[in-house]
Amino acid sequence: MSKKRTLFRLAALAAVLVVLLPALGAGLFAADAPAAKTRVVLARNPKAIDGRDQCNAAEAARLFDRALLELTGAKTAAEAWKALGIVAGDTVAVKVNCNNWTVSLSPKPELVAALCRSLQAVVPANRILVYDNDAGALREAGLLDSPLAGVRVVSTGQGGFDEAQRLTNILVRDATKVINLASMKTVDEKDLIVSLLLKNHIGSLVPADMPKCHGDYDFLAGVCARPAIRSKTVLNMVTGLRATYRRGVPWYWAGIVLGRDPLAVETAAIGVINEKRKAEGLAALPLPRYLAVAQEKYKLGTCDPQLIDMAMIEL
Amino acid sequence: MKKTVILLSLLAVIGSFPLAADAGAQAETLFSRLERLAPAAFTPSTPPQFFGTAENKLKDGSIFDYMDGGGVAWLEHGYLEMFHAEYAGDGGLAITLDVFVMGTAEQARSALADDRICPAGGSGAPFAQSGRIFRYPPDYYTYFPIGPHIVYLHINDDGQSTLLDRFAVEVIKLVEEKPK
Repeated sequence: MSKKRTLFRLAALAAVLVVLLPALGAGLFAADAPAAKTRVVLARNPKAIDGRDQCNAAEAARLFDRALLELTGAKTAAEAWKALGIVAGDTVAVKVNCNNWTVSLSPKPELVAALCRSLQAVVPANRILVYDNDAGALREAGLLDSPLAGVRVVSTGQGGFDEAQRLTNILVRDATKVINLASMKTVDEKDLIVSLLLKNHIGSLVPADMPKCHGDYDFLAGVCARPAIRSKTVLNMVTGLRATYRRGVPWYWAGIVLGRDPLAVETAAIGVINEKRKAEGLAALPLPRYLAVAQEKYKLGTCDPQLIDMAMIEL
Repeated sequence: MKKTVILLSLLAVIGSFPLAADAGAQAETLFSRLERLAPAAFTPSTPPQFFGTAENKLKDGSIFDYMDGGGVAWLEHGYLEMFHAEYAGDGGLAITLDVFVMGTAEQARSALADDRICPAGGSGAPFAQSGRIFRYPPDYYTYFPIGPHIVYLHINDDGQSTLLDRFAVEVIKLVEEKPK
């Protein structure tokens, strides 16, 4: 009886070890194994925009489509979106930034149309919402016009705000997936420096909270850690078809930067701006402090170039 | 005698306040005159807007409602309030006019020397001393001071820059005009 019990106990222990050891081993080795790199694609197509801010729709679409496939390793748009986690039945919100003072850096309607057309490989147009906080700015950017036919273009306040997350209901209630589409903008303010992906979601906030992002790195970094943004965002993209490398001074980089990790994409976009600044004899911009807070405190991604796998495409 | 002293003291106290009130009243007069202004062959595309500070919001809110975080630099240089108008012309031409009211002429000059407000570079404006013009196709814009005011003008087609230059001259004339 006692032998039987001992055998039973040994068998049970063996079974437990068989189940647990691989997991324990993986845990033990994880500390030594190099962390997985996050992929960021920097894609340029000089034919996508001319020197007078005129966008070529076909070339902008070619740029976006190629970059998306490069990011995911997929062969088709449908496969690419599925690899990013989008499934039929999703409602996808695309946050754009049309609030551009002095020179317009609003995302080109042709590029947004290319993104929306590509998405339609998986979700129908009426389940795509393009939004920003100012309806007038959306109109001025040309996003209310025909290139986005079928896609809903709305302002942040339409549908109200979620009181718990202090975010637009577009993100909290309506969308099941989110795409952050920022413009490559240098603002040269001591606390912000650039206005890219993290700053873009300030336009998703309850209006009364928007000024809080100035001078408060923690607040700014924390916005993208709110559940509706952190858990639903599948793609982060910065458009630099036209960009600014210092406040109010544009250039036509003619490219886009995209990836899954918002901090890696933002870091890569700042790298693009700094290349231009170097060419113009200007000092490089430092990484904004809110990015460090986003990385260390909120674990939103990485700013470490060693952990970013950058793929460059020149069309 | 006592009453006279009290009355004179009161008048002195009241007289020491109006700096802010005067600035506001003059700005209001200037703003109402600006409302009647438009470049030749252009029409206002939206009603003019008025922005103050977070503590002293005007009809359309504070400077942050207009330019978001860019307002911080303006406030550091004594910004008080501003007028904003947009005009539409033929073929999609659009002109933007902003007139910023600063505390003093010195603050207006120091604001324009700050490249967070007026970018470095550009070239001298033919129509205004200390003014700068910037041509980044298709954009053409200018900043220039008029006493305690800063004027910003933008046109969305640099090929039509002379239209903007002409309008700048009209704006200067109007801002310098003594209120009636």
